[in-house]
Amino acid sequence: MAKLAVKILRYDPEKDPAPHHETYQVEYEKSTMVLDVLFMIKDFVDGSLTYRRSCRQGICGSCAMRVNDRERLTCYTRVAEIIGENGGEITIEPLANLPVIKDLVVDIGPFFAKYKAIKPYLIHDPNKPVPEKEYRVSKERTTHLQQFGACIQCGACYSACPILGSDDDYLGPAALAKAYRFANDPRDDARAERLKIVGNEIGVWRCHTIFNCTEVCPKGVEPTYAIQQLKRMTVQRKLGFR
Amino acid sequence: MLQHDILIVGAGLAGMRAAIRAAEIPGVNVALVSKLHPLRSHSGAAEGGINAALTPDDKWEDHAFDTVKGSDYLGDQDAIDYMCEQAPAEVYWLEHAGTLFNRADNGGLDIRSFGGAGRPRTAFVADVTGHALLHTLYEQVVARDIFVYEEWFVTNLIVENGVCKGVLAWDIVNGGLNIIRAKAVILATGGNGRIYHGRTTNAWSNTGDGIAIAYYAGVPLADMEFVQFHPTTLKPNGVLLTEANRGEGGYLLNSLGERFMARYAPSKMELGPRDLVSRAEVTEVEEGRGVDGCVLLDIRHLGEAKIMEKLPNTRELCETFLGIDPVHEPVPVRPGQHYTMGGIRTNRWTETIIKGLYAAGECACTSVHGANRLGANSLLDTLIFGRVAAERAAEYCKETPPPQVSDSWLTREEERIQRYLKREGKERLAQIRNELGQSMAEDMGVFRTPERMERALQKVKELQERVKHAPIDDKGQVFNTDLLGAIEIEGMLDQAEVICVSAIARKESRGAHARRDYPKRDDENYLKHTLAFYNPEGGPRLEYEPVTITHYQPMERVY
Amino acid sequence: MARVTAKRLPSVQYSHFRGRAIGVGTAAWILHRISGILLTIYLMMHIVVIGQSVRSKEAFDAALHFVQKPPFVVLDCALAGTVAYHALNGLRLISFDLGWGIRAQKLLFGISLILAVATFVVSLVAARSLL
Repeated sequence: MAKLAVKILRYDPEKDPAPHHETYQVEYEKSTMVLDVLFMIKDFVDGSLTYRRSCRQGICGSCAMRVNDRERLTCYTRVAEIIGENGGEITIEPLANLPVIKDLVVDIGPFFAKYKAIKPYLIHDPNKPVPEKEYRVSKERTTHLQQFGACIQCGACYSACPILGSDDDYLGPAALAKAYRFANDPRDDARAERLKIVGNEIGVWRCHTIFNCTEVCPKGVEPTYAIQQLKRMTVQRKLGFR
Repeated sequence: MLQHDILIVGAGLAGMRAAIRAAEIPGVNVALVSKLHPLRSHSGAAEGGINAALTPDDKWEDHAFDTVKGSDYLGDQDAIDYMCEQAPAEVYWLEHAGTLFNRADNGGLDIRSFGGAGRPRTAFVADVTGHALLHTLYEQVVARDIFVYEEWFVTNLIVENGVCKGVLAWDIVNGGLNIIRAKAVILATGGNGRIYHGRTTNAWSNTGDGIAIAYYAGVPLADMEFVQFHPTTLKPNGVLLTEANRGEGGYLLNSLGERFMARYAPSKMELGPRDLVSRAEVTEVEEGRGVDGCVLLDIRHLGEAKIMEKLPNTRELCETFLGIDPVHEPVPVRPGQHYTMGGIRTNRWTETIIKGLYAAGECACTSVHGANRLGANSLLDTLIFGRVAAERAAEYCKETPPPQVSDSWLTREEERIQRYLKREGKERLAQIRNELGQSMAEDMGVFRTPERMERALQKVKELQERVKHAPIDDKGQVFNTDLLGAIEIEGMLDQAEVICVSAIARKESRGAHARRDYPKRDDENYLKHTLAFYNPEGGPRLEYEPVTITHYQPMERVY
Repeated sequence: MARVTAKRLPSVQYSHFRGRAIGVGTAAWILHRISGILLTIYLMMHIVVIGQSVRSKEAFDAALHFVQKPPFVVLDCALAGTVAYHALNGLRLISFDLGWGIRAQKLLFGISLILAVATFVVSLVAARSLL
């Protein structure tokens, strides 16, 4: 067991005028994840430390936070691996670009509003017959789409995107990656509609290929790639082919 | 005033499937309420796949037989028949809704083998099938604009004269209690694995809240002693490695490098039913052939390409939590609590004994899984019976007037919540939680003895007392997770009590309930469901109910 | 649906420049913006210099004489490097918009930067007689 100083951005909306850092001393070992550290403090030091968590295995997307100034899933980040980044101290702060409700909990409403805005569901043309069994989709296409379907909507990319830092209206990497996942699904019949929704100044054209989203995504979704593909598809449509 | 025709508690697969079906029925107003955002539900952690008789050489009747045998003949066969017969249509529905199922070379659905199945019948999405289905269902919820009370915690049911009239729910984000009136309530709140905290695959949020409130309202909990231990969980934190590892051809090895399952399930080997494999693993470790209390899951021979195509999540989990790459090294695994076959007793149409109250998914005991669940049958269970619950509830709503609920319900519940906040003492909630988990893992595990089961029960009773002296640090209204933890642990302690009492009373071994003192199945005395009724004065009151048998008479269960 | 009485965190948290957030992509973006601004400033200055020809032959000669002094030669070489960077990174961005090369973004940035620096150095060497 080794010692660790943890600096957490606390904020009690019922008491505090503004968020402020508090430091705690804990011990960790080889297998300790950052989320475990939060539990050590909540369980035995201060039960009012508030954060979202559920699966603790990197699939539910609840626990995305900023750890040492970088977006991570706290349940998926080993303390031992990041201890050197900040001289033996770990800083934990809530996701950026979203209003803070309390401590490390942010309002994910705006994030999901954008998710909903891009029509995140398969749309079939009602005039086309539906197969009795499954649609036929190639292995290659499925593997390709599964990469973007792997998104757990954790918000790490949303927090890391500097464009969202200055523009609340930008749809953001997660929503756009989801839009691509459907625009490129052979079973979907609404590509033109989808490209209209994203081919504008709050959609793909706000992306300046800064790649922060791709850097921080815990599931390897590569939103930048998806957005560039959408740009290409949008231009092709505008120019009249495809 | 908050009011709906159908209110669904829990927004995992069962809850969302019910909501989607209800939204299709004209004239039905439906809403979901969940203590989590729907996409955070633990359905998303399911990995391996979903069963259905999809291939031309398969029949749903065979799927049903495998399920009945897997349940060690405790499953209700009429419900099982229905589930298996409906399964293929449900899988195609999912695919049409956009699920990115893995494909075979011809572009059709790829199928894999899974435990206890006579032939391969599991459709899958790499090894993140639950995640894929959860997201597909949420997409459909969004498409239909179904209202969700996000991050609202249901603290109690409103039941008057045997009729359910709604729920009381705490708004987690803003604080404050609310009545939500409903003609029908569907409980789809999932499992209670955190009773085995420290030794479970389940999420922090799997505290069995719906099971607890149904129990307090007078609905019996059935078959709670049947707790499934999944054979391949990671030692440091209980995280699940999917059965698909074995389905794709992985081996289980002991310290001597033997595929020890040859001695326990010579025909199915690593793909025996989970209770059998877990017992085999524990036996190997007890007899000195374990590796640091574990056995080894070896998938090296599958090759990197196959692992990346079909088991990428497994690789990621092993690397993240153990620093081991399963492409090159075997992974130490051991049995961990994973699923509760028991739960809120319903009939095969998800109805409970309370009018207007339904239950579907893991929180329910219908019972399609009996004494042991086959892998990849739970994803199926949630979807089939989620849909059934919606249809039944909608029928019921048509002939039911809007409920009259007095505000005194709110006042009483607010007082109850205040009592939590005013608690004093020197105990810590986390300590109670840890001790409960440790005790249940040790004494109510894969193999049970009368002394240990009694010890577990005594420990639960001790903790039920001690928890009254565990204060809540957070006295605020906004996002008070400390308060939620206090409510959850009480429900878990009462469920643990039911598990212990039910287990002690069942003097046989069947499925996942394996007793050293009664090692054999006793159909003459125990071919029946345990029913536990809440009894505020003393411990749970037990009754028994016969198993519904249609085609398959109990036989010897060998694999 | 959540009536949230929350505050946004201070804006320094969202900046393009915070902590570990500066990755290759951000660096490329920052350099592209800076080089773009510098090139615009250069263009203004260039117009002023060339525009002296409208006044008189002497004014033009004086202006040219001024900007052929060694410090300005170095700046001219730097200009060549800046143009090279902005053009190459610009091509990198165009290729992204066409859907190509995204996964090689760090490599492409590296090539742009190296070629830009090389342009600067080669220009210096080629203009050494003027220094």
